[in-house]
Amino acid sequence: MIRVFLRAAVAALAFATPALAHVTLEAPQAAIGSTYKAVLRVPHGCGAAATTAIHVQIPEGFYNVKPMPKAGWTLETVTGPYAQPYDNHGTPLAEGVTEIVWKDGNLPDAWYDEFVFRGSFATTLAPGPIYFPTVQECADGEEAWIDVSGDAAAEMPAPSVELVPAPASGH
Amino acid sequence: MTALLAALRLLLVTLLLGAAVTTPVWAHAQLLAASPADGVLLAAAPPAVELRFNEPVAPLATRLVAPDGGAIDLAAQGGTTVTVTLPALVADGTYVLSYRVVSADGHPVGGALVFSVGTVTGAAPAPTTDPASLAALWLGKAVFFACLFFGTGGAAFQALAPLPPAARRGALGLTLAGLVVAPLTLGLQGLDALALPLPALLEGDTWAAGLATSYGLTAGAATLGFVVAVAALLRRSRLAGVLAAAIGAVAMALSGHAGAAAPQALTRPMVALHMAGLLVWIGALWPLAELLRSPSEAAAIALARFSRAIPCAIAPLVVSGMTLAAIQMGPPGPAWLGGYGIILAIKLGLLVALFGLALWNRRVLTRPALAGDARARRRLRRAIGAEVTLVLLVLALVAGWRFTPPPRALADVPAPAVMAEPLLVHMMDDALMVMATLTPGRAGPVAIDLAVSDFDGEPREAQAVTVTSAAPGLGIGPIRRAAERTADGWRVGDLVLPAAGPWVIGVELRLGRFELRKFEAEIELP
Repeated sequence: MIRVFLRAAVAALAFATPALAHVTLEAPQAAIGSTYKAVLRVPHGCGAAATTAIHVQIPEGFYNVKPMPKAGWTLETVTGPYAQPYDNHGTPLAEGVTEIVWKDGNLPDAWYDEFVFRGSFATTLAPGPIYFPTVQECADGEEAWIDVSGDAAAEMPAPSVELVPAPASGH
Repeated sequence: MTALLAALRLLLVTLLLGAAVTTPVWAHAQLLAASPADGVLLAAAPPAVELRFNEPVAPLATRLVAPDGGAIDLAAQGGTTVTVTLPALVADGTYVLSYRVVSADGHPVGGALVFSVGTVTGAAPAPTTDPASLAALWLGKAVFFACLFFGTGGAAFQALAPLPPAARRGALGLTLAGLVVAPLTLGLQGLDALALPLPALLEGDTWAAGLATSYGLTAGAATLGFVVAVAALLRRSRLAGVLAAAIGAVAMALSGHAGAAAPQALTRPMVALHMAGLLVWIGALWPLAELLRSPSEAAAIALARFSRAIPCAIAPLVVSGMTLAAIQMGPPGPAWLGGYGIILAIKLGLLVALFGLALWNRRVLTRPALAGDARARRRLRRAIGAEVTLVLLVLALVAGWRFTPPPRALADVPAPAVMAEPLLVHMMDDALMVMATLTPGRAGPVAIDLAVSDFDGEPREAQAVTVTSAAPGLGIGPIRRAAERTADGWRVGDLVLPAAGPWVIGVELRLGRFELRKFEAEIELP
């Protein structure tokens, strides 16, 4: 009896976990060496509070980053040197955007919005997940989507893209 | 020989006082454990709630109060473990599962279990029985006992001697009243079972609930006993009188706590025996008082027969009382000093007076009264009147004792565990170490203290620290708690780890806006 109950409890836990709405990227997969249009989806506020700012940390190896401005939001970027220069159509790039901030906005919990930026995945990256740690700021707190452990049961995983090897035909 | 008899009588009284600890109305199943544990915070809604009792119970009402205050009635399965299947709980927050169950003794037990899913919110209080309903139930039972012992017991007196007219009329009135009161107590029992206010007595469900408890059998059998007693009184049948008393005694053994205690093969017959002794003794009081009004041959014969017969009623009363007392009280302990003990002391006090009076009647007054001494007879009548008053007081007390569990039931409830040694958990990654200390190191409420440092032992500052506790093997968790900053680290003080076994303790350090470090360790919680 107790065993049956425990099994049922474990099953219920397993089913309950994926139901949480996370901040995620629209395209879950990208090829190494490709350009990537990142669409960050924000499905809810911090609890019931409206989102007022979004901070995205750009991982090493995602270069030539250009955020898309957004009406009603103030766009800011933080730039810095890359760990190594990346090839931008023959021109080496040694520095660029390392953090994007959309701030002074107002996205109520009941509404949905997307925040867009694009860039390129360096050919030096290895296949596997690459994370874009994101902090969602609200008037009275924040939601930090910065867990890069890859743990399936992570409470607040960082938005990520699964990198796959470039197709053989290349470009 | 006389000295020996006197010594035996003294022994009898002493034993009777001991027997007083037993009444069939000392009630209650005790909740031993619940899953999820009371007060626990769960990551996901549990599919069911399990309540484990010390004896088999049948659920009467189970109601879930949601965080928004809305309530739904749920189905539950009975047994020693009651399983309440929960609907899908969509809303996070604190839920209250309030339950009413009835055990084999026929007495309902209510309680509430508070658990939270995802987050803790305010919880609505669980309902309790309306005091007016409880008062009505008490009064109903007290009157029922009076009808049984004086009415049916009076009918049984016919086996000893013909009833004087006044006592016959009185016993007839009480047994007829019993025919009304016994079924009425069924409805009152239903009110108690479902924790309803007095007006709900007009609803069919209330009566159905009362009938569904084991008290339904008692009320039914007692009603039958009253019918037989009425017939016995009208037809002056000695046999029917004895039969009515036997049915009444068996009826009382069908529910109530003493009869429900293990081993039932012993306790139920013992309760019946106890009741039979009481019926003979109490039932004789009123007829004797009437007989002693005036000197007559019939009165002398009746008194002499009663005097000879009463030890045969008292002896089984004592033996059964002693046996049941030993089972009910359990080994001596702090439980003896609870509300139960106080009520017991009051009853013992009344019984000391009662048996002192009975012994005085027997040793001092009976012989001169039989010899025709008018003064002794008057005194004996007054003494019997006082006995009746004391018996009524005891019955009133007994009718009110549905509310105190016997020490036997309390003994099964786990005592708070002794303070255990703190449990130390060491965690590290490629740069940092976390030392977690669980105090006390056992299942139950614990505090976790955390110290974060680098490999050189230098304390490392963090923006925020979160602790997670999960027992995947037990289907628990993870329970998330934000730690609070202390003088030399971080602390989670309001944690309940509800079960012993393997647990996974996780620590999340927020070191910067985008930097989160996670640590995890498995522990065996005693």
